Amino acid sequence: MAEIKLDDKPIRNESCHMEELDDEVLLYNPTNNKTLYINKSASVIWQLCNGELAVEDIITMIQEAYPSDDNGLRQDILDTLNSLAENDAVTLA
Amino acid sequence: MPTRNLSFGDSSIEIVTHSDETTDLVNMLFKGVPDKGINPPHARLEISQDRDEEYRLTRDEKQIYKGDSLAALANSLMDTSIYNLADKCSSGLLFHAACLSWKGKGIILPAQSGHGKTTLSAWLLSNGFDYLTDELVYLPLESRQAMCFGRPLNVKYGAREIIDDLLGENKDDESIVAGPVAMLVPPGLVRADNKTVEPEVDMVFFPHYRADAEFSLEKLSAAQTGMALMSCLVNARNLAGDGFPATVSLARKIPSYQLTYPDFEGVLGTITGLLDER
Repeated sequence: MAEIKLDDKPIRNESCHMEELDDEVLLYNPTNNKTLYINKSASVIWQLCNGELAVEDIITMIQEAYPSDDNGLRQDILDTLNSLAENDAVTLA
Repeated sequence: MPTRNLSFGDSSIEIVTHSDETTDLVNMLFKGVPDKGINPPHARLEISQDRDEEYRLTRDEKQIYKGDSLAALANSLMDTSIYNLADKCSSGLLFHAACLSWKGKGIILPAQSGHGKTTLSAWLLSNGFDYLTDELVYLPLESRQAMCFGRPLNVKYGAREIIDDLLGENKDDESIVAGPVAMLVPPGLVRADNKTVEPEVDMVFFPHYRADAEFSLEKLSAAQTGMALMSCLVNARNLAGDGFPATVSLARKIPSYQLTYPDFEGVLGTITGLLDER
């Protein structure tokens, strides 16, 4: 899997189905028959992957929406995008 | 020519035989499977015997098995029948799971092969549960009413010692079909008064046999249940939204547990205790 770049514009896999169950979210990918168990933040990131926003834009939007002193947020977003890409839920372009 | 229809969910197939021996085999293997369905058969399986007396199983004239072993024919016929019934099933959720009933309350044990579904089912059967299937469970959409593919217990040889203990003096009964990789054991040999019912599913247990583990029972969240059920959904591609919304809807309604066990000690009391509380 290629290293994610800040100017990549990830595109979510539109064949995936998302369902929210209380505070948890499932993302089912019928193309590989895998179900991902993700949190709500990850589901927001997946929904922002529209092919127009760059990774840097997504990070900025989430940092603005959830202001925090936590320096780990940026890395969490990158890790989430990597995980989504590894499971074919998004394509990096 | 004797013809036996098999119906499961909204899918039907027909099996044509040409001898008393193979007709008896079909009747024994599919004793618990209904013959009347909503839709006409979409596939025709035929068992014939060549001049050299070898058995030949075909599906719509394509050869599936040819050989001189009745037991191997039985295994092939079972696998082919299940595949063809599942292939066209589109009006409900079809799970790779065992199903049993305790005092009218249904449980399903969804798992892939090798997780111990059959052995656990046989043991629960010997302890008073009614055995319904160790392979396929059909749930109509938005319903918990289980329809089960009522086949004999499909026992892998690795579990033979345990099953022989449960069978007792029936362990050499001639109705047991000993195939190359597994033996098919009529549930009535384990407990004679086993009843075939169609219960509502009250609980889900995901069984995981691990010789080196300690017994544990973990309550699963709806999301964990949905994820685990999706991995056992057989007919996703036939359903709206790949069966995901319907599976998640089911996961919200039914309490589910991950059951890890190194042996059967504690399993019976745990499951019956939970069911009796409901």
